[in-house]
Amino acid sequence: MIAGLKDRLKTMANPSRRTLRIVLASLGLLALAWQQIQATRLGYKVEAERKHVQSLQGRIGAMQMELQTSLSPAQLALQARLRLGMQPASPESLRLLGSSGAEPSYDSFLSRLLSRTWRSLTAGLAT
Amino acid sequence: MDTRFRLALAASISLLPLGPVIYRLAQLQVFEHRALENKAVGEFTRNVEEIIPRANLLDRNGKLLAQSIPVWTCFADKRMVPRFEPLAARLAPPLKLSVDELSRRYKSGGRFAVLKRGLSYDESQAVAAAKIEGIGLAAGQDRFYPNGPLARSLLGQVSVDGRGVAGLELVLDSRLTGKARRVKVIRDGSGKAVHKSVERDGVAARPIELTIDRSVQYFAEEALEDTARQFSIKQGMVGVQDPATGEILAMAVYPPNPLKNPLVQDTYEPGSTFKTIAAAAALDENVVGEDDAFFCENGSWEVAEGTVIHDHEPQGTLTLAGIIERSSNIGIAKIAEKLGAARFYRYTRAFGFASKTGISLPGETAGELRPLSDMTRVGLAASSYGYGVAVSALQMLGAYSAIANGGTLYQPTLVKDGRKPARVRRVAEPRTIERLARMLEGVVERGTGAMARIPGYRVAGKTGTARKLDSYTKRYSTTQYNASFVGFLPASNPRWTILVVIEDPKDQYYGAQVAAPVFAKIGRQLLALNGVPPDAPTTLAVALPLAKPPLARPQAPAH
Repeated sequence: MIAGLKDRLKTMANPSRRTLRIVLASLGLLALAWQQIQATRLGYKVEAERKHVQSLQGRIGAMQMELQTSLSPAQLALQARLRLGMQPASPESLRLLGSSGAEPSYDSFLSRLLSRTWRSLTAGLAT
Repeated sequence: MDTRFRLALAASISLLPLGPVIYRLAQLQVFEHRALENKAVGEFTRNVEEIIPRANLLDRNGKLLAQSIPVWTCFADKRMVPRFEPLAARLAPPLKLSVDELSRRYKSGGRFAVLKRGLSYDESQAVAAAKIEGIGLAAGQDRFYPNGPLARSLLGQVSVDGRGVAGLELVLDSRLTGKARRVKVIRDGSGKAVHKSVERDGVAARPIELTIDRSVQYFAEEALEDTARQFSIKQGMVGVQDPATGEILAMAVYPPNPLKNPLVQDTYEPGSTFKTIAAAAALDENVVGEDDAFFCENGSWEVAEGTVIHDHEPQGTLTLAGIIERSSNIGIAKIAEKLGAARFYRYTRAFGFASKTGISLPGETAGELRPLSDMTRVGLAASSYGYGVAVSALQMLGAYSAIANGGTLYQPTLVKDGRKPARVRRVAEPRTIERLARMLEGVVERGTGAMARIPGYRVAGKTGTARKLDSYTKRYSTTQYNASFVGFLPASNPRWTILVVIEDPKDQYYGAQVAAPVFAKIGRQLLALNGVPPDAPTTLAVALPLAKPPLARPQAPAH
């Protein structure tokens, strides 16, 4: 036991090892301080970003409000009447295709003309 | 003197001043350690509850009806700012107010004068950047209604602190309010936040979808406003309901008042729209047949000694259908007499009158029926054509929806939560309802409801006109009326039940003249918007003449 104590005292007395330990301890302390500083700096950064997010959310909210206000029925009706000169449609002014029994014709004038020409041509070929 | 003693004395004298220092240190570090530590932590650390925005209210198609956004209130602490004038010039640009206005606002408050409410985030940051001592910012939220006054009587209102105080905002308050997040904030010496840690998680409330259709609501309000301009009305109400589910599609009120919803909270005497209930009871109980004839006494009948009832126009003999179409008070009174008070009372209750509908709105009235014990001959006659009874507009809407859907009374709903429609009861046999619906179609085709016609479509409904009870004289007024029309369309497959009640219109007062056109206007827009094909196409090309309004006979305004 006494021998072990002596060895330890000898090691402590060794100046190079002692310096190493002091340096290591100092480095540890420095790292701790650096980490604290970084944490604080990051804290400021996070807070700044959070404020930025809040600002953007506020803007999004305001823009959504503006959009919804513009799309409100009263606004749309006003714009349609004043700027586009539109009138509300009455049900009798609507014709629902296919619902009243009379099937609508989807053929345009051009397609009818083409099909008629094609028919006459093919008829000519057949004879 | 011993050297050792002298040394000890010198040391003691030189160390003596350290005594108080050591004592003070011990006091700070040992005895008051806990309190001082708390104080220090309190200065740098704060527990803050972050505001969770109130949830949005949406219409049935997901369109926004109400939204909360964070805002800030700028205030001045007068104890810290005894002289405001020098600061006003610095605050004017970020607050976008004149110096004079700011000074006026500063003078108006108590210790804390509110300089401006509803600041956006950027505006609040501009104020904060000015770093003026005694000027503070309080975070909050503001409720915005992007459609302006649309549906405000239904939506209600929130207080300055963001709690619902009326309408749906009040009823749905707990569902709209989330749970605030608690955050621990560590600040540096200058007050800037260094670190935030969540102490308790918050819960954001989910948006609530209502059964209201924003477009239908707009149609109803627009039609009501036009009528208000035309007839200088005191008050008007329009309700639109889906008869198949009981869902309310629109509730319009004129003049709009966020603190009151008269469709739910007020009662009115319905007049002739109530005749349908008596007719339903008589048909369902097989007391009368559709073609049974009744003599309508040429417009005047002494129902009891000294009590004469009148029709708005003299009628001879009419069938039940004719009584409904021509809105004869005498005819329906005779039918009610044949039916009996007990059965009439039972059916009025079955149709939902004198009971709350259970709609999720505050202050609902149950209305009032003449008690069975008070159903004298005169009382029964008056009740049969809608006098002496107090009903809410919502009850009347529900009753006609029951006729529209084939006889089932549904609980009216305002919130879409995926639940099945709440069926209350079956009010009458399907055959009765079918015959009744046909009679109501006759009202529009041949009777008093001609102004509710929509070319190309089958419309069913009933007009109503009732004198208002003068609250001072306790007698029926001869100048003030309630004009109403209630019906459904398209009659072949009803999709909408619409009720229109106009209180105290000027110049004209019959439901047929004042309320029926509102019904037709809303109905036309609904049909066009939804592209509903005509169910009476033969009338498409026929220009229907508008029916002449019935003769004005103020003595008998129940039609």
